[in-house]
Amino acid sequence: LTEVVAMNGCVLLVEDNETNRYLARFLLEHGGFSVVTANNGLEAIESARAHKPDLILMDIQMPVMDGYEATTLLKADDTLKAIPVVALTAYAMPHERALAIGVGCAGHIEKPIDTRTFIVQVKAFLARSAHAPDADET
Amino acid sequence: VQRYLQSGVRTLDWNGTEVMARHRDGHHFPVEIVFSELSLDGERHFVGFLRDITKRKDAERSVRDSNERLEQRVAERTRELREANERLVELDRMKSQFLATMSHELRTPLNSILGFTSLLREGLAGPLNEEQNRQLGFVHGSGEHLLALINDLLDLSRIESGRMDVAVAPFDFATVAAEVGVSLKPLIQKKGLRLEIKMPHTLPMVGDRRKCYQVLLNLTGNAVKFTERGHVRIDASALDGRLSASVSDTGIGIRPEQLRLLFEAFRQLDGTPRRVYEGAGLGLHLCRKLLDLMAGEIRVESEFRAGSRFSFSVPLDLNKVARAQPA
Repeated sequence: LTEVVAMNGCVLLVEDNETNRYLARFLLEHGGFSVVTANNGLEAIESARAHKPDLILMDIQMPVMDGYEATTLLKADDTLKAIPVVALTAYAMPHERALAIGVGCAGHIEKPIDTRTFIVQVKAFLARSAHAPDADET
Repeated sequence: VQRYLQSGVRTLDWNGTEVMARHRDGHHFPVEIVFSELSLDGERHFVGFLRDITKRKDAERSVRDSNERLEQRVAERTRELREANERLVELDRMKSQFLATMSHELRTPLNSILGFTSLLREGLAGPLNEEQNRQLGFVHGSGEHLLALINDLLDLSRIESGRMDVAVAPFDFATVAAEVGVSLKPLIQKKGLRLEIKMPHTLPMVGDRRKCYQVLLNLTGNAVKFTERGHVRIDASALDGRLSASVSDTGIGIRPEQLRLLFEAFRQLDGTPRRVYEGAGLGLHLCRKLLDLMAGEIRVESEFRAGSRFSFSVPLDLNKVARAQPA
């Protein structure tokens, strides 16, 4: 197993499917990120408080609490709202994107994820939020 | 009659009054009494008829009864239809819910099938030999095919339930054709075919770019699939306010009797094994439906063993057309 230094930052990966979580985690770690994971929206909020990640990758359809509700709650929390949230949405569900943006997501990454472009997309979202920090952030 | 003679007031309707009479055997039965008055040699005469109307009364009652029964049946049927309609509305809602859930459930495992196969092929989990890479390529290709089918099915169900929106935005059809060429390039090269695209450098349109891409990709993909040697050609031009496009090939063609079935399949995907040839059913059906949404048309000409030509047209500017409503 390759030892990878987490130099790109910390990503909170919220995904209820274990296999897909493993896949995304593998790619992120391979891309130089440290990764914390959550199984649903509720766990995501607890984990965001505990780890203060640089970016949150949020699945939409999840049990217990879905991605919309979790993002809404994250954006209502002054200590968490600056963390960019990127929705993981299905290609054939265009309405998911509009809803995700509506609750405060910075954008979306399409599922099934493209392993060749996934890391590039994640880095682009991180770069964008670093260059254009939230106005409320002081 | 006495009272009438004295007062001139008729207490019975002389033209016919129905009363109950008692038969000599004691039972009651309906009769009709009709009176008339006449003068004979200056004398007033009264003539009365008493008619047994039992049969008429029975007939009237039976007409009235069957009328009532009819009204009752109409009311029952109306209620049944209303209930059936409510059930259909509920079924439609359940179908949509089912499709949404199933598509999520089908996509989730596909996500990992596609993800892990490409991850392995990229060598991220260690080196692969050539044969392993090749076989994983088959897994990946099949996974992508399955995903495309799921997406097509979802699109169809959305069109059929009237939930498919049509975008109206400017785009260049020339770039759409170029993208179709790029995405089919690997398959075209593998089969040793030529792809020719003949159209103006720019073909500005206002409409739904993604749907135009889907239609052209589908038709061109079919052409490549059913052509073993020669070329596949995309033609497009602006003609009388419409985009006129066609995809022709030098492939196996379609038998005349199958051509008819192909158009039937356009209209109805009824689940019977009435397939013209493998894979043609869903894609062409979807093309037709997508074009319907965009006030478009599609037709096919084909010569068996010589090639086929699918032509379609859509308005260049959807803003200038009364949009076709989904069925």
